[in-house]
Amino acid sequence: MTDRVEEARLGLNSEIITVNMGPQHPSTHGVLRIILQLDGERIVGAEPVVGYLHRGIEKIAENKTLHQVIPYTDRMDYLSPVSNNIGLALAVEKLIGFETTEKCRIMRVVCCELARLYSHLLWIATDALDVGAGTVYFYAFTEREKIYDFFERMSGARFTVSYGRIGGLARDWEEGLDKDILSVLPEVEKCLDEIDLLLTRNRIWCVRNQDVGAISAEDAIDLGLSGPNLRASNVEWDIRKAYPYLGYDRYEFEIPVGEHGDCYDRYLVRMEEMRQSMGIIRQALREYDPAMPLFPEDRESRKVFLPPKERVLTKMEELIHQFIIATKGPVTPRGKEIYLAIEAPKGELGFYLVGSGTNVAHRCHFRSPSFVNLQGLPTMIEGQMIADAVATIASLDPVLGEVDR
Amino acid sequence: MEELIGRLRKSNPDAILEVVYYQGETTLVAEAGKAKGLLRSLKDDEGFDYLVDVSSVHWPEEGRMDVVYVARSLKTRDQLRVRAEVPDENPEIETVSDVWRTADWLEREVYDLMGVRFTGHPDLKRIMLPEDFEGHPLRKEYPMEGDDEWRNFLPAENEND
Repeated sequence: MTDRVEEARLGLNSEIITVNMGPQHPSTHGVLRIILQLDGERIVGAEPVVGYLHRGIEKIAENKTLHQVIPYTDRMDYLSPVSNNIGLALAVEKLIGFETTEKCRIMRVVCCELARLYSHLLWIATDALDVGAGTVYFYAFTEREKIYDFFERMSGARFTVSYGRIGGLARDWEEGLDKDILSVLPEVEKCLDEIDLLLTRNRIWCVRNQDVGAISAEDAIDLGLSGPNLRASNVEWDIRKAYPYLGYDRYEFEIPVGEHGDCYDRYLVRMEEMRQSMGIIRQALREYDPAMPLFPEDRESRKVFLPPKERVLTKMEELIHQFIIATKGPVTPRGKEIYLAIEAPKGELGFYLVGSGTNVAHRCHFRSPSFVNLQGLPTMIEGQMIADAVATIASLDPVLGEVDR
Repeated sequence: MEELIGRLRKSNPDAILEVVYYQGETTLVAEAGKAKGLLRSLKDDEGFDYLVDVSSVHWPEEGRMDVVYVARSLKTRDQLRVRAEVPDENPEIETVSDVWRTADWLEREVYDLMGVRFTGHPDLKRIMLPEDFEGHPLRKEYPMEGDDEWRNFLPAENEND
């Protein structure tokens, strides 16, 4: 307010102007629109407007069998589709009470952490680009491509992989994939070191990010932020530690936390998270043995798990199971409800499923982390400059496909 | 968890109608009019500082709409689901956006897609769909292919006539 008084003294009549930022602004990472109230270049009010990408995924999910929902989850957070697939599979397994094999669990952990790695690599690329550091973009994208190659080798697709299946995964890994993943990790590490050298003590990077878009721990909890955005505000909270799924409690890793909750801390937290993810991948692959069975052998489990293709084409029983599972799928218990949350790269990705007594879920609600995180944006950017809003949106890492569903 | 529910029963008499356990999760079925008091004492007295999710379920045969809250204590890692049942004709329930600010957008989403009115909400308007949209598409009676003028996502019939 003192600025306004000063302006009045100098005879500069400034008034609050309203500016539409988006929905097609390149730095909004999708079709996000923000109605900014500006006093000069200072933001006095901000209102995010979402919904431009709404496709009614929840409605579609309530009209399809549960296996058919999996490709739709790819299109929510399209920067880490595997964790969405696996999250949905875990939720359905919890609803029908099914436990998968040890090998499948290990493979899922590796997939989830690889997804975190490439999602965060894209985040650092675009975040740095938004703040004006173009070089990082090419460094990070080179490494991301290598991880995409692994998903291509796993599932046949690069981007929207649909690799998860209820009860398991689409197919087994080809020989030597685990060794190749291990051999690429040092390259990613080297890239992170380079980014670290380029940015962490870079004067411009510090000025553009420190004390920008800060949010206190109380506000962050009250606004329901999750994932790295919550941890940057010095809240030690990680679903992988709090409610371990996929046997995350067997692996040693740390939860990096920030101090000030500003863009710079969110950057540091994500950088450290990538390193921790690589540690988890190494530990998980140490347990991995290609000779272990991916497909369960007992009678009841085989009615949930899609059998391997080569057995479908040669064995009668597997053919019948394949047909029943593909056309009907698991039957959900009527009126029973579960909520399962996983630590997706963006934060807490929750699945709320209600059974219907048939093979279609009565209610399929996705609690998407980006949607809830974006709600904290006005609190972060009010009182700051327009350029800081760009840096803050980038550091929040919203994916609009997931916000709007 | 048992003790916690006991304390809640004492501080909010008649608010909890039923307690449901499934797959290690606890659901409190709450009286719709008293759900807000229950949620408020969860936050203020029991330290459930984090609201995870607000969603809703439509049961057309029973003529019922469930409004479902998931609350969590980051300290003790306890998680509780509170389910309030309201009729599906003109469903209405008090807002909890003044208890947890998270509820603001989450309740707007429920209002937009299910048509539950949250009384006392500071800015209850559509969030996913355009402002002039009619109907609430997640309700079970809403057709998959859209309704009235919102059917235009399908190819027009008799195009060649």
